[in-house]
Amino acid sequence: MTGLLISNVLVWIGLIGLLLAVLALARQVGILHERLTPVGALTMDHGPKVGEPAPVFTLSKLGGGEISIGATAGRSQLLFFLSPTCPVCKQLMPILRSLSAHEAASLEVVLASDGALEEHQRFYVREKLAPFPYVLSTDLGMTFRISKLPYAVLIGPNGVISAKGLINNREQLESLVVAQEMGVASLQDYRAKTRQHATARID
Amino acid sequence: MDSQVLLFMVGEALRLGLAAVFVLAAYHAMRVWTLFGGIVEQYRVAPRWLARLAARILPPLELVVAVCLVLPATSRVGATLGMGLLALFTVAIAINVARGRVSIDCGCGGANGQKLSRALVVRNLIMMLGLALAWAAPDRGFIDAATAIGIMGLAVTLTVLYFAANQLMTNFQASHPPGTRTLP
Repeated sequence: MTGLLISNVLVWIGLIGLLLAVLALARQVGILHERLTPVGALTMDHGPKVGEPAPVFTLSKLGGGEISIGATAGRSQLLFFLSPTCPVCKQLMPILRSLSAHEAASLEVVLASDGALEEHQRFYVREKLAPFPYVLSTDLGMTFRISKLPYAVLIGPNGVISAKGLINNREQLESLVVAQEMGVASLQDYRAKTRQHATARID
Repeated sequence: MDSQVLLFMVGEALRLGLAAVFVLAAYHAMRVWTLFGGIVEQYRVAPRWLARLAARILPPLELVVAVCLVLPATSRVGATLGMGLLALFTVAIAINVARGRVSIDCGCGGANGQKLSRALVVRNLIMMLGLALAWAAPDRGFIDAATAIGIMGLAVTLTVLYFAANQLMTNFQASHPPGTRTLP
């Protein structure tokens, strides 16, 4: 009987200890959520601003044919600036593929870069980029003041830039689309607005 | 096995565990008492003066419930009063969830920044069920060591479980904010 009692006590201690660990873990997840909130694409304040009409370009595609940038007929256009030598760009390709496949009706994904044509031809074939329009233009990159890669610019169906930013992962790419839907320049902008709102409410 | 013993143990554990929950809720509300007035007001279920008054009265009332629950002589009074308070909170939450005003602060204490949700209504209903069980549990005079240990263990377990569940609900809201979506 004593053994049973002692084992009972031990089991309770173990159970409560485990539960406290679960509570501590849940709290840590909560704290992580608070710290991670601005996951949006980082916008750098260069080039045409969000809300301004996008500069219009007509460029030839790598696979042949021409495409107009900025003059979109009813569809949004996602300009994705990349380089064959950038590993993060390659990591993002599957996400861009699924994005362009699922949102084909409302969104056109355009890959943009600059440099030697042969290198891009090889990259284009090796990475099987035929489903995407692929343009080479130093002018385009200069106009949008692209200094870091991979960088994305989302142009709305009305030809106005609705979001842009440095993209390093799926969440940041998503944040561009979400920013467009919510009508804010970036998630940092949204965060700043809601924060002001929250402080006003407490006052 | 005697089902009366089981009911007694569960009832006692619920009584003590819920008393702890009420104490901690009152403590969290009182720590930010001036802010708490604003939180109650945000529910928009009562005029401003009444909301301010409620914010002054509710935390001490929660302490009263806890004390009543712990004392065996008044435990049934405590359970009844506790159910009344919870019913009040639940109605206020349900009204705001129905209005779609889910982004206001719950003011539940514990997990900071908890927002309103349907899960919160369910949580409160479960707590009310717990109080009802504590109310209905049979009395027993003498208890042995094993029973006492079981009751204490279960009471602590229930209290920690409550806070863990609360935190997980808050985490879920943080990872699924309204108005966002994920790409395919």
